[in-house]
Amino acid sequence: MGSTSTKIKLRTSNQKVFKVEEAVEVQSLMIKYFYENGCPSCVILVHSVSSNILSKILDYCKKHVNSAAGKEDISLEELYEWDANFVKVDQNTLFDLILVANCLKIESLLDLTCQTIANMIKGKRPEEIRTTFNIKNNYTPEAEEAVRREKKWAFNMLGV
Amino acid sequence: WAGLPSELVDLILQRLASVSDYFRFGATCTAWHDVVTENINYLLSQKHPMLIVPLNAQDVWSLYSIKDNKLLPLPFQVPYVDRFVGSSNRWLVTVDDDLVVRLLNPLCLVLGKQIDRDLNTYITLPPLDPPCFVFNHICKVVLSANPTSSPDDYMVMAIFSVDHHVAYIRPNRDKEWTYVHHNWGVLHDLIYYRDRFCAIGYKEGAKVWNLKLDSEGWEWSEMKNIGDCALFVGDNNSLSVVASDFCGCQSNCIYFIDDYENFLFPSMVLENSYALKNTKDVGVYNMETRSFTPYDIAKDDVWLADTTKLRIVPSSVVYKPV
Repeated sequence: MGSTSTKIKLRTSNQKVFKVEEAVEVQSLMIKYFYENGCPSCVILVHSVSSNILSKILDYCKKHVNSAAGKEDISLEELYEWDANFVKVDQNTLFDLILVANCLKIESLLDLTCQTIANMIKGKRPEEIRTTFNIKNNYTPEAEEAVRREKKWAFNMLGV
Repeated sequence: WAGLPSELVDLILQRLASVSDYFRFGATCTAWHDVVTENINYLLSQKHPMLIVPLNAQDVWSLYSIKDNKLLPLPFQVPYVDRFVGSSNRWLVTVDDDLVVRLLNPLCLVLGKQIDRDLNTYITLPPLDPPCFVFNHICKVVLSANPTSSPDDYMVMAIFSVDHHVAYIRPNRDKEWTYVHHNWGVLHDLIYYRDRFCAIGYKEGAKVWNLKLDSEGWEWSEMKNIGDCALFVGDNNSLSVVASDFCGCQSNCIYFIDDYENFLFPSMVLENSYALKNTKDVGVYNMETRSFTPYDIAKDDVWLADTTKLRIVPSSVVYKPV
């Protein structure tokens, strides 16, 4: 795998090009795939990524690579805690993290970000979810009414 | 966030814990709703054992989520006279008055719509030979996969007739059932687990048989051990769980649930299961010690005493009013 100088680059939708650091290469199944398939100088197109997101991703990968290699003395519990703090970010950052994790196929980060979002959704009503994630209710009044009627009917039926 | 790619929406959906969360998630916006609609069958079948319970209306049933501890607003219609002889991969198998075996997908059988002949909701299987004249002679019918997602590959296996015949069919490929001739004695039950059918027989004590179909035909082998699994054996459906996932379950054990002669009243389902406490054939068989412990009211066994665990037990048993 790439050592001193990496050849795989990321290009964002606004045409910025980023070099990929070694720790990211190790964690990314996508980059591993490119290397293994004899494509060491590709440009991977990512949705959008700022240098801020990329440095966060790098932090994450470094931490996990180092702890896995035993270079850093950190217990599993401490790593979980580090992960938990890592995803204490605003919604936009989280959104970008999940997209990049998916694009580069960094499985553990994808799991972490998806689980974080799922935990934020659990037990919330639809309107609360919309507020949290800034989602516009795009149901037509008719569709919403139909959903409501169906629910009401079901509730009467079930006697709850 | 509504523009999140659907594969990622799916990953988030999979990490939600309860059925109500799935529905609320879907009600957020139409894009997420589409993902929920597409995956609900899979999620329910993989993560949420359900009870089928009758509602207070003619021929209307609904699903009861064990994890969420409540009824789902998904009522569907199946005539009360029909008997449920199996449920796997979120499909139900029914036998009607004329002994016709049908596969139904309850999540598509929404109330108010007549049962139509749409393949996704309703599949009629060819008659079995020898024909059964009594309805409880069709003992158990099991599906290897979901007919919607694997229409060409799924296999249906049945134990039927007083002689415990075994037959299988791939409904989209075969016109008739294929019959397996065996001398394994009285077969009581059948499940599909980890790419194979498993049957429970009774010949000098309870045994678990392992069925494997290869190019040569069916091969059966007796299983001495089921590891960290617990099997629940019931009339309508049996299921296997990883015992350590459900506290209160013993591993390497078979839990026998009440048979259909003791139908439970729906009113009892949500109470402390009076009916279960009055049956004699409920108990645990330990594969290692080869011993059967009947459920003892006085002892109040832990797996039946605790209502949360209790609901796991008959998770796919049909409660039918008498």
